[in-house]
Amino acid sequence: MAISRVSTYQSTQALSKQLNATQAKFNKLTQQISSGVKVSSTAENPVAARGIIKAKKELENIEEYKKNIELADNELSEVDDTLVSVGSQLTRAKDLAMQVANGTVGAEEIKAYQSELNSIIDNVKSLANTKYGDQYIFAGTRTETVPYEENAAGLMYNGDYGNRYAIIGEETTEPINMLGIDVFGQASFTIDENGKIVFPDPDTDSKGIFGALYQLKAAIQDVENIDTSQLETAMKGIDDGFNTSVTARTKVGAISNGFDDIQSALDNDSLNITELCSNLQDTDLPSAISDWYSVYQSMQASYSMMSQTMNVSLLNYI
Amino acid sequence: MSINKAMNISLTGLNANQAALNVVSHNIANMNTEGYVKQRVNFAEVRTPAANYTTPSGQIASLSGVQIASLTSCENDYLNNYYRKQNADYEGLLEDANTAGQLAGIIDEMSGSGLMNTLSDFFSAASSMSNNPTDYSLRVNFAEKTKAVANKFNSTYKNVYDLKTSKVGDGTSQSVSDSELGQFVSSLNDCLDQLANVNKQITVSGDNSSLKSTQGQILTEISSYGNFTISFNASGAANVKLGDTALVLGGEKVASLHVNDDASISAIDSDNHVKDVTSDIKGGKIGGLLSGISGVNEVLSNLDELANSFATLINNIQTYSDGTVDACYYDRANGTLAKVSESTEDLNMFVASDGSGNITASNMKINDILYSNPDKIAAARLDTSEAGWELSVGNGDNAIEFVNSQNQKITSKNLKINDYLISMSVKVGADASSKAADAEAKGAVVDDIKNQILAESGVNLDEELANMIMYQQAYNASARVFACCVQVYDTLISLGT
Repeated sequence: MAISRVSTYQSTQALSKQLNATQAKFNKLTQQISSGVKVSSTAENPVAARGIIKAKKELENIEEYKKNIELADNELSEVDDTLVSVGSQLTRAKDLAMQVANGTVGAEEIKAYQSELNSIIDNVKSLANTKYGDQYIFAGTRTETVPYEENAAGLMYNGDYGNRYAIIGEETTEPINMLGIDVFGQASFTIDENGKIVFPDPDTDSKGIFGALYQLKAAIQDVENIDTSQLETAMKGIDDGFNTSVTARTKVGAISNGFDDIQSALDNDSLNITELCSNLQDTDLPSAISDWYSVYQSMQASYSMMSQTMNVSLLNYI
Repeated sequence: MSINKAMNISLTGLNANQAALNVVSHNIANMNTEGYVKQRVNFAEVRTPAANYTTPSGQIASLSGVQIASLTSCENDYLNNYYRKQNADYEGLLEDANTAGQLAGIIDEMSGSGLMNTLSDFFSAASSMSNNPTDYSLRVNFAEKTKAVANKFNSTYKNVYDLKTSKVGDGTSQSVSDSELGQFVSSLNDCLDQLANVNKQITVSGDNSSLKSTQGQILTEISSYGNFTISFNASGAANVKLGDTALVLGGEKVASLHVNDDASISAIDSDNHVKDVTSDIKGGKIGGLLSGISGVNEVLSNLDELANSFATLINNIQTYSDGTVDACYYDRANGTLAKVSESTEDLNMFVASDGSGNITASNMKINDILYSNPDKIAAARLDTSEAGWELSVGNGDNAIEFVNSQNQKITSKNLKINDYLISMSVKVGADASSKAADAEAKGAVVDDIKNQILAESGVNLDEELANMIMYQQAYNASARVFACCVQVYDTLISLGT
């Protein structure tokens, strides 16, 4: 638009409007530099904002998964520790059985072994009843039910077959518990009027570590009359039980390794997303500062120009 | 021929130039008056009838000095009309952009205090609860986060609703007349009254420039409120119509506008005939306000839809039962699980605070039974046909379902809740930024026209001062001529002594 004639009011208005615009730009840049953030609200840049919000949500999810994995990992290491102790108890039980089987020990020693075996059984029982926090870890989802308690039916598993899960990704869960029945088995027996252990015949319920330990207990319960065939079975059972505990440890280790992999993948994702987010949101300082400087200079120029032109008037010469 | 003639002619010069100086003085005094139109004096030569034009002396005898022929307002009606139309559009866009900007400030998931944040806490609490469903503190935490979700829906809705009522009122929590729309309409009615008055004066006293300038300013203000049609009578009076509804006809205001509780606008004439004119108002502050409110209404209904869908989703998980697999809560006293579906109480997670049964963003509330006893939250989901299921208190499958609910597609838009919130936030933000850009672009057009108008009608000090010197010199010269005539008289009189 060509304007040949400019009214005084108009030129003042135009100048102050221009100054306002420059000042707004100056403030915006100053704010971007001081806060380090280029986009501070959705309205400023809806496209970038969408990316930023999504990235932040993704980061939150990753933190959540990492937290869950850490919690699960702690519980798994508790399971592992427990299984190591079970292994050493079984080794000791195997030693006892070997000594007895060799026939080199006398009645007194067998009596001592009997009481040692009782304490081994108690130890393994309390290991099977391990609590992590306030939950029994080998009881499936019956986390408040003591999984092993000796009663008239023997030492039967009281837990269930349910799993507890860690949420480690979107719609992805990983079972983190070992079922007591799989690790420790159970023993089905009754105690007769002489205080002797009697297994039902046929015995379909006894199995695993507890099955073997009670077999051993039954085999040596009569000092004078060692049941050698039962002793054989028990020794074999203890070997199997030991293998079971090792297998369980391997399984725990595998889950835990898997968690480590996921965790490092999550760390990687988190790094990438953080970088993406920073590209979208952070102020590009060099360019922002050079912009700031040029706006600063144009502002100074406007002020100095304004102070000079506003004084120019015919009024000064008549 | 008399020497008096020369004196009289110089007298007309003195008078005319003094009057011109008055006009210059008036122009300068008004140089900063908004909407002031500069005045220009037009001089004209005066000739009187003479006896004989054929002789030079006869021609000279007819010369009678100067007079002020007219006073011109330097105004351009075409530009003024153009300005009013464009300005109405600009004011409309500006108002619309303001509302959109305020809305974007409320619905901004980037702020870190939006609904998504509260929901994140909710899902995280559900995840923690699934790790250890019998832990009381984790359940209390989940209940608190659930309450926070309901509260956040309530407060977000209220903030948006308050924005709406501050703009248009609702007749209950905010009276319509105190709302922005109410004030616009009442100012507009005042303007219509003023216009009718000025029209009356113009009809009576003729089309003088001062009344014309007042009329112009009123018309500019009226057109800033909407797309009114302005036409002029032969007498110079202006008529204002909205669509085909006449508001001002000559000196009469024939109808007033009125805002109703539902933000609709009616025209009421002197016979109390009411006519809905809401759809006739397009641009201007009123049209822009109404258009901005439609965006606000959309967000309100989105929030309602989302709150309802989300509450239904969570309630369905909390009360899940397919006959064999059931959602179960924890009976802490007995250390067992119990089916939610067999409870005599309403164990929904969310309820409507007004008891209507229809959950909305404003009435959404956590069930008090669950809040006061978080053990009633169903963290377990299991096959209840298996013996001994009651003891599986460590089952956290239903809590995992709560976590997974964030991946369920809900609402009529089939979006996950976070995607819904992001799309809402981005839409509102994009709306605000594009409307602001539209308004800015229109603002540049309006400024341009205003500059053109000011270029024609605004006061330039240098020009006025130059004119002032010109008139001053003419005045001085006329006075000199007068003084000269006096001397001529003196010379004549001295001849006789």
